[in-house]
Amino acid sequence: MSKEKLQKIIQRASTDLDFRKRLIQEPGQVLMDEGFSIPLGKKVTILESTDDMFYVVLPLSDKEKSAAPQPLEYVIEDDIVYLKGRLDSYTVEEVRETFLGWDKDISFDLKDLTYISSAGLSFFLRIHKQLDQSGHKMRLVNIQPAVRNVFVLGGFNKIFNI
Amino acid sequence: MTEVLGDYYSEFGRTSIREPKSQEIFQKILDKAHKNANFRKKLISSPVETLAQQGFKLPKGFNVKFIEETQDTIFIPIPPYIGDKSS
Repeated sequence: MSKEKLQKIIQRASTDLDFRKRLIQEPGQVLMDEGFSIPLGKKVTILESTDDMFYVVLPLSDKEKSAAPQPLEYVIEDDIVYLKGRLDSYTVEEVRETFLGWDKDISFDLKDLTYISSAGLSFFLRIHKQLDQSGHKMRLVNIQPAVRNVFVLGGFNKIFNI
Repeated sequence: MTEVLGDYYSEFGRTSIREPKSQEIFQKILDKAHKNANFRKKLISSPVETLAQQGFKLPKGFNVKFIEETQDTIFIPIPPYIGDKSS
């Protein structure tokens, strides 16, 4: 199904010059317009074959693929938020909007958070400050060792009391 | 309905090879590249020679470029522009 759809787009690119130009210039946008969603943090590059030269893409091996960055998922249950995956400058956009207006106590369960970047730290700091001002609390629970290290290295463990 | 752009894009580079027997050899080469990182490097650095060593001869003057997928980029090969057939 998806394959057929993509094939149609590729076919169109070889006959419709305007479409081809647009596809090469902003592939992500065009593919989204055509109903594809592109995994967070991925960009799309079009490789133009010519009459005497064609491109072949070599996929990553499964092993390399499993090391690929996971996007972020989150589930909110009452005042507990379960974060799963990576919290970095890309994925933080997913949660920023949701929690900027938050005005009650909140716990982030980080059992399945595998990675946090400085953008993730500053996200928590911001929520912490915001709630502190309105007399509420933010708690971080079930932090994995690798993620905890990042908090500790940045001195955030004291701020967040973890 | 949106669909996630996933793993199938890499196959499109293969469509340029139409002859069934060539296709079979080519598929074997791709499989080998998938499993063997050294072989993959060779394909990328000297594609024509490496293909020839595997029994896959490209037509004269015809070239191929292997691009290795990366974790943050989806590559989509497209065929040359052939123009609008209806006009």
